[in-house]
Amino acid sequence: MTAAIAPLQEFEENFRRRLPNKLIAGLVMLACFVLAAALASVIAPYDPNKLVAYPLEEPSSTHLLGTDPLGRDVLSRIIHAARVDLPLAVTVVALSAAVGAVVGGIAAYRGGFVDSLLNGLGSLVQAFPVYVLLIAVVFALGPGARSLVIGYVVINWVIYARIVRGEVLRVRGLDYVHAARGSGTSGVRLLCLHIFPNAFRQVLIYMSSDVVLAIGTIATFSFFGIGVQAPTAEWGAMVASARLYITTDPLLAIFPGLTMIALGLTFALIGDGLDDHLGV
Amino acid sequence: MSGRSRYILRRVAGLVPLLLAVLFVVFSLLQITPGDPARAMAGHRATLEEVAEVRTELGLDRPFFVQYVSYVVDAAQGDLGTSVRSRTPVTEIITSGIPLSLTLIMLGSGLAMLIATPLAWWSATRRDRFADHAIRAYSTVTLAVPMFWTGIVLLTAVALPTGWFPVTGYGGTLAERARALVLPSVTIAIAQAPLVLRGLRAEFLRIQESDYIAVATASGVTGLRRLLRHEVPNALVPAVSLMAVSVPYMLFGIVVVETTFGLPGIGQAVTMAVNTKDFPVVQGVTLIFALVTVTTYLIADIVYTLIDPRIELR
Repeated sequence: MTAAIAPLQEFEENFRRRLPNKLIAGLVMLACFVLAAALASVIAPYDPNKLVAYPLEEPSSTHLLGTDPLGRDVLSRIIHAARVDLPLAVTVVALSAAVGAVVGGIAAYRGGFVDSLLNGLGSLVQAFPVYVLLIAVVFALGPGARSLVIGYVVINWVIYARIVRGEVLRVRGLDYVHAARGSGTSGVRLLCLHIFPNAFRQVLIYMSSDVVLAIGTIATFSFFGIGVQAPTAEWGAMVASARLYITTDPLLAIFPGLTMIALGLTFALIGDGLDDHLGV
Repeated sequence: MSGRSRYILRRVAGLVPLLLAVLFVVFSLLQITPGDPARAMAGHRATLEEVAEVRTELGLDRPFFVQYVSYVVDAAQGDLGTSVRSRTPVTEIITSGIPLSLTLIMLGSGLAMLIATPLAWWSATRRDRFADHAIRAYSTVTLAVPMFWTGIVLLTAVALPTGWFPVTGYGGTLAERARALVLPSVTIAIAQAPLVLRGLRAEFLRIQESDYIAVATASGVTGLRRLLRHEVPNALVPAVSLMAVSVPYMLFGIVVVETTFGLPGIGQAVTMAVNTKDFPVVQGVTLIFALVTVTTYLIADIVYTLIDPRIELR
């Protein structure tokens, strides 16, 4: 019994020991962000949308990061904004990857019409500076988080489709896939159980750097006023509202930015770590 | 006809369907708007007559396909419509913004190269030592910093305490304008440099391990001379193509930077149009930006075949 388990344990230990420090650091930071977001109403000292003090108070023991131009607690708003920015960034990336994986998988496996359509769409999206196209799409759909998600996925899935297509084509030629097909494994089963898991590595690594870009983009769009709408606490929008006060209260614009960068770095570390760990 | 001219002709001809598709996307922006675009543009307080007027003016009462064809025909003649707010032709808005935006792009990318090249070289030379790790960490960190925030930090940390640079606006005289461009260019360069840095570092590594550098070293060419005569020139060609690839990102950069610093270029025109529901301007700028992107890629590909004749023409 133990003899049979031993190699498994050894494998597990090896797997754990070789997790790169970057990846562990990134995951720990991510856990902190997720916890802060999930427990925001418990951790945050005040209601993020209530006027709890005089406007533009300096940081003090009662308001650790001060208050904003309306008199809302900045720390509470920063914590609550994690509930908006983090899920939004992860959602747009996950949805893009899911759509891209399905289309890319079919394109590689079936070829033909889907494949040429994917190629055409790819060059079409590449003809635009993507974020400028995104501005135009979000503008047309009307400002707001929903338009941002729709526009982002509509533009972004193409990259994933291309990655998945390339990976599936690579994996499909490997011996074990021929063996599986030879032993009578059906198309869908082959694709889902044998090809996708191996094609997913590249996607995962790209996803983590894509989240970094998504966080910045969501904040930038909210900064422009076409992303997440007031009064919802959001980091980019907070910087935008602090902009008029940089002569007197420069810190107001600094704190939300630092939080956003910390979250970006979290995913950058995870991406780098995954790259080292799964690297091809 | 030589192989190369045939290649160029084929590439240019291939642009036609792509441009038609690009025009279709830009044109369709008006169609995906929920509700009535004429109402959105005329504003909430407009009377029914005013809304109808906007609709006729933009030709929104015609069938979809007719609208698209007339959009393409007009665009081919350089007519991108008229701003529904300022009543100026869109092409005029764009051409008046181009000098400023172009200057910003050139200053920004020039500065980015000046930052990235020495850092990339240093990073490659000290491979896997402290400097290398520090420089690579820098490029990871800057990727996570949104440009608008860099701009605001530069304003608070540099412009306000020193008073050397205006906090917002462009100014009339040449000296004023030059000063107004410093921080925006630095902002673009800070965001741009890490993108180029990664590619350049790999390039320097490849060069430093190459045979001709070994030969140069063996024949006594070392130090600054080897660097300037052999290493940098060979890294410059890929650097140029790295810059070409980052043009789309750059165009978004000028939108962000011009908006943050209040500079009257094409980028600010688009965010102002977005906030005032000025459809023709948003469409026009998106179209021009797509044209710039497509042309840059094409020129980069062609220049590449001129620089390196070994490249296969497909």
